[in-house]
Amino acid sequence: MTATGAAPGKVILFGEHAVVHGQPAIACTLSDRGVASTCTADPDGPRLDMPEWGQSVRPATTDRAVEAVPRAFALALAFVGLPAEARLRVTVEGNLPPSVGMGSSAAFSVALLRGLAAFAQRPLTEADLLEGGTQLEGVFHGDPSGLDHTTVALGGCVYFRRAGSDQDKVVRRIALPAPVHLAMGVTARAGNTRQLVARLKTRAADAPRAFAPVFDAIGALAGEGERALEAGDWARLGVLFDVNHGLVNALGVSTLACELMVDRARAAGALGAKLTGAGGGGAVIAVCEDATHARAVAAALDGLPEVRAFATTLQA
Amino acid sequence: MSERDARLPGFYKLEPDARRSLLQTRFGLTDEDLAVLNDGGALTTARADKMVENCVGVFGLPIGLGLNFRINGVDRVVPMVVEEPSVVAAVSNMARVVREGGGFTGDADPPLMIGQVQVLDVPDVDAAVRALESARDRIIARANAVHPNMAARGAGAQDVEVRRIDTPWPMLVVHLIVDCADAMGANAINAMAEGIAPLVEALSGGRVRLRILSNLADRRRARSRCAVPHTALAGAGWAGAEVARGIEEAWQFADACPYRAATHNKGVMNGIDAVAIATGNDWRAIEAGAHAYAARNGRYGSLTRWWNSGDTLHGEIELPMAVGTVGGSTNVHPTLRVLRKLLGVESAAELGVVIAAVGLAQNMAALRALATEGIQRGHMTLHARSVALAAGAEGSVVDEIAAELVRRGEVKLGVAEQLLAASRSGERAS
Repeated sequence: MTATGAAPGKVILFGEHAVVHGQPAIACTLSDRGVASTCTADPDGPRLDMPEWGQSVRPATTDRAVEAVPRAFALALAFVGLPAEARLRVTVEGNLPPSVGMGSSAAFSVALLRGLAAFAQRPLTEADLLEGGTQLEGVFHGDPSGLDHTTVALGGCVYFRRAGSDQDKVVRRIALPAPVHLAMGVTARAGNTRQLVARLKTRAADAPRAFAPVFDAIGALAGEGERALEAGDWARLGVLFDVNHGLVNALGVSTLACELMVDRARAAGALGAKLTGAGGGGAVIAVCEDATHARAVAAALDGLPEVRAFATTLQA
Repeated sequence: MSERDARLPGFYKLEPDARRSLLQTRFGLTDEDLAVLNDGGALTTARADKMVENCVGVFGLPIGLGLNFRINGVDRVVPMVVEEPSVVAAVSNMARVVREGGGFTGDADPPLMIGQVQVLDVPDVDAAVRALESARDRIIARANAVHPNMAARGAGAQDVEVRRIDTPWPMLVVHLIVDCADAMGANAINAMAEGIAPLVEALSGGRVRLRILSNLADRRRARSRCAVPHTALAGAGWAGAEVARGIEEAWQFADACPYRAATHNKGVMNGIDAVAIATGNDWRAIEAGAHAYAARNGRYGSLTRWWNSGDTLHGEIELPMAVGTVGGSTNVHPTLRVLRKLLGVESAAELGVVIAAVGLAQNMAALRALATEGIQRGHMTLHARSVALAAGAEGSVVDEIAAELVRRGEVKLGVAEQLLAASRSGERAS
């Protein structure tokens, strides 16, 4: 038998980095980009093939030195109640550039869980999927905020605030009245999220009075952004993107490539543009009037050195 | 579902306003819903301008209700958008007759559609077929990654098949089999076919040209059946058994002769297209699929089958049914929302069965009319109404003038105009 699973990629609309520091953030899944798994019975299994990345692995649980994918595979098998020696082969494909903040590891985790659950004929509830996603994301990211896999597992637009010593976790869906058309540019050089987050933590701890107002201002944008998204006010969304980008720049995580992309997108008539994800290498999203406009803005970004650009759509 | 009783006796005698009020009490339509149905619906030019290019306005068509339908034990009032007189009356009459045998039954296949990728200049066809077939799981995953939300909900790409075409031009065609759930699926399938194209090229060593869905949706067929006691077919001086035999013989003609089959199937599509339009579905796609399917055995034939056993007439229809209840124009056109509420189907499969039943009812009506009294007279009355309307008649005068036209055997615009002028000046036409 063949079972399939998939999960969409995501972009952060508001609140990257600030979310780690307890501020609310908004992320949304994409309609046309993600990761998918196909599971088939195979006497030589269990095996996980990722032909695009040249990987073919068996699950591994004990050796802590092995790479993340075999450990995530073992965890996923156990999570859906399949034996560690299950005779199956999982093939994974995707169209998310890795390490640019599009949630590729979260989408991998959720797509793997969904495919294996379908194979095991064990339906996963939303709560199961969030728990499984947390376990698998832990393998890839150590201590993730949870924003990525929460958004990817729920699908659509999500308002998120992590739990802290003085606050409860908040997760709620934002209903978009229509799909939002984006142009997106990613640089060839990937950022290292872990390093960027750690460096910002040190800097913020050294100068709390300088950074706290910036984090607060970013947090306030999530509330403003939620209203603009619900109202379908894309012009206002664009203005808020611009403000968020300025604040992220103040945190010191932007790069020349990101600044060039933001500038080029605005010059091409985008309603607003901002860095998305951790920064470092960098990815930029620009909100556009419609699909045709998004393709035109993407074409403008594509002219920049070492940039790959495309039009995409936020899932309504 | 008893409160949704699809029998509305005397409905045809009411004024449109009174018909709408009845819908309000029977089907829970709101004042707002009724306003949408009135006067050409609520599709504004501003919205229409977002649907097509160079838009200059909105075109109106009548919405009629197919009554009396009972399908798989559920009563249905079926909205039909059609400009041709007698279609709505014909299906309603046949649905009333079929009710006497328990109504229509039907079922639909899983919503599997086919996306096609054309591969040319393949250097080693055998090797390419092997490579594509052994990468089946990978191709499926690649397709689902392009449209992740479909697969996340348990639908999406399910299988891959490779077809070899040797003559007259050698090529490979990769079929991607996609479960479209409750969507028609055209956009998703096209995106998936485009998404797998680079992988198909890499695996086959060939060059991809077209990447697009097939409208011959023969994995996604809908079927409907009915069994009518001969006694229910009697009337107008004809014995029921005679009518039943006439229908079977008329069907044999269509089954044997493509010239007749084309007209026979056109009648079937009178009913099917009207419901497809009323539910926001792509009726050109359904037409294309139906006619291609009717020719699947190498000769164009009938989409329906009629036969008699004992004192029962049996009918069945089977055809590809690529329809959806989500996506497409359903979110843009306000009238569709109201008509959907009226019809009350919950899935694409359910809608497909309803549409098939309407096609079967329309076919039965046409065959009965042709095989017995001749279609001309029934058609004439309705045609006369159109002519009276064309002459400018309004309200109850329409029926008066139509009746007079039929009585004179002169259903002509000039005559209707004279009658109308006479009626307006208070004189009686001689």
